[in-house]
Amino acid sequence: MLDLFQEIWSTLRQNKLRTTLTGMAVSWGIIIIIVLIGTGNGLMNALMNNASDEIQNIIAVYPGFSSKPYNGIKEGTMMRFNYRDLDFSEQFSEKIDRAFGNLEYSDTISLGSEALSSQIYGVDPMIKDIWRVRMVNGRFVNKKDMEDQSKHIVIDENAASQLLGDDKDYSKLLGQFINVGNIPFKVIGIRESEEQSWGHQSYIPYTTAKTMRTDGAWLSRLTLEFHGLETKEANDEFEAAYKRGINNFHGMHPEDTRTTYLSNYYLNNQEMDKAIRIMRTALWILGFLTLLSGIVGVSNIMLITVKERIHEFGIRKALGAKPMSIMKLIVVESVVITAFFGYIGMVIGMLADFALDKTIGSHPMDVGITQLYIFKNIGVGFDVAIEATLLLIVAGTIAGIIPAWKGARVRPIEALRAEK
Amino acid sequence: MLIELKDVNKTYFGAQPLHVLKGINLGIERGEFVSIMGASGSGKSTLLNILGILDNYDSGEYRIGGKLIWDLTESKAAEYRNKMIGFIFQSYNLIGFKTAVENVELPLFYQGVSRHKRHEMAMEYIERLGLKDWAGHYPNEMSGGQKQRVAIARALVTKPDIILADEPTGALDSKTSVEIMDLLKELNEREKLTIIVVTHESGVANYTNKIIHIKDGVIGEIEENHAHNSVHFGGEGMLK
Repeated sequence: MLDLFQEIWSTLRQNKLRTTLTGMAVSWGIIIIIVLIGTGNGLMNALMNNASDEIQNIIAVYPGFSSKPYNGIKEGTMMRFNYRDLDFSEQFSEKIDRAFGNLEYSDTISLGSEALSSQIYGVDPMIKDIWRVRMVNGRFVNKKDMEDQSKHIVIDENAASQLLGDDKDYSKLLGQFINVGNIPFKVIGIRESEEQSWGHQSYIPYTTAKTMRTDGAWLSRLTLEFHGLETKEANDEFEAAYKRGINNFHGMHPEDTRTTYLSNYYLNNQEMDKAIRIMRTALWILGFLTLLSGIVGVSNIMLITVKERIHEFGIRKALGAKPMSIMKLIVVESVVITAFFGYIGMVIGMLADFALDKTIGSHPMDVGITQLYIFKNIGVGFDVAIEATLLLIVAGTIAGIIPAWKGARVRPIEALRAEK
Repeated sequence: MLIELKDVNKTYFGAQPLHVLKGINLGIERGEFVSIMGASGSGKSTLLNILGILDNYDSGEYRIGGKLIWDLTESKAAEYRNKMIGFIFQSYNLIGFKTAVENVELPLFYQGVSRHKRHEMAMEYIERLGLKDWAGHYPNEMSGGQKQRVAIARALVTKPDIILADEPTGALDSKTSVEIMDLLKELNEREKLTIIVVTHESGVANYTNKIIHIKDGVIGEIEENHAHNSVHFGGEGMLK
């Protein structure tokens, strides 16, 4: 192998300028690929806002209004979920591992003389991932809070700031007690305020909320953790069965599809994954087409090189070089050129991604009514680097294969007769 | 019999089919120093190519040391050339971007000899041909005679059964030509190498012990030439 590289090195040295010019086309192709994929990733990151991959097998059930009169229940009656719906959902235990609800009401939270109105959500710890709640200080509601029915509360940044009298050092609030209505709750965490929300949102354990709202409390949503629904068909079938069941349970028309709204995170994720895959593929194809011109360039140069070296190949063949060894010489030379300049391109492309991330990736764009991040975390991962490397090796081989075949095929007497 | 040709025919099929070799019968013993002499168009180059397994023939039999050379794949032919034949060309055919010693190493490289070993062997032959100080030089830094000696070293380094020299003095001046022919003669006498020289110059042919005349694709007279008096070197103006 070392011999092979020495051979290639000595021939490449002969044609420095030509090799460099050819290589630049390959570098350029790889730069385009890396920048396209990097910005594509940035775009997707911004769109998904760093979606968590862990939430998969979740269906959220929201109440709707009946659209068909049934057994004395009028059209337009609102579906109201309560605790018993959770028990009902357990009937689907074949598919549902766990069902939990959200209790939701609004109340006043106060600290000393500062008071404000907030929506209070009684939630399961899992809601943190489902709603992608990001913490600034402290922690979210956890399992122990649920078991102990603790009077613990998570409030948002803006609320915290108001309660402290416009003090931004929220951490002071951790461990302090604030009143929700007139019941003291210990602040365990501060969440990041959402950009596009107006009111305040506070979270307390679901079990705690349940004890405080013993009667007449409705669940604002049900969340079902399921398993074993692999295909879209299986999911659709399950959703239809669930809807029929819950309609029956509430004495509504079994085939009324408007009484509940189901949001299937699993299917949504699948759709999202599909969209991302399509986008990624499209970007790869675009990049590859650019790279293709580089490959054609390399192939072209290799053809010229083979033609120039035909006499030399004749000598080698007379001395005992087998067609395979000539072929190897040319293909490896092509791969070396492509890989070397490809790597230069990859490094430049990554630097370009880095520069883009530090400029357009770090400043939100003004889109009239609000400011939005169009790109977030521009750049490519290790996987893309590996894929690009493989692509380069394949590309180099493809570029070299036709010239190599030409060089290997020529008969020694013809090659020896060829002009030097 | 080291080399045996029986009724070897070769036709080139072009616009007009050209029957170049018309039933060649020839035997060469191990250790012989022979020349194949003929004018251009006589078929001597074609015969040389067949002897060197660079080209194939249409019918007949060609054996080297009893081994039939027929219907070989390119790889097999390359392997046989590498092991059995050492070439010396008119135009040296050294590789320009390789030094003298690297050129000599090349056939060993294709035999899969290790780096260190092949360098050692190549240096041994370079030294034997009096080129020690030129080992690291590139062909374009050498004179014609030196280049041909590098080529001879390259032909010898694999210890082949046959040395095929195609107009070995064709590109050299008469003084150097004499040196090269003396060298070949000495190699034949001292090392008992089988050497076949293909030439159209009678002066060159006169150096060999047997002169095989070829004309219009058939073997003509085979002249025993141990006295080396068939033609004087340089006489008749045949060798420059």
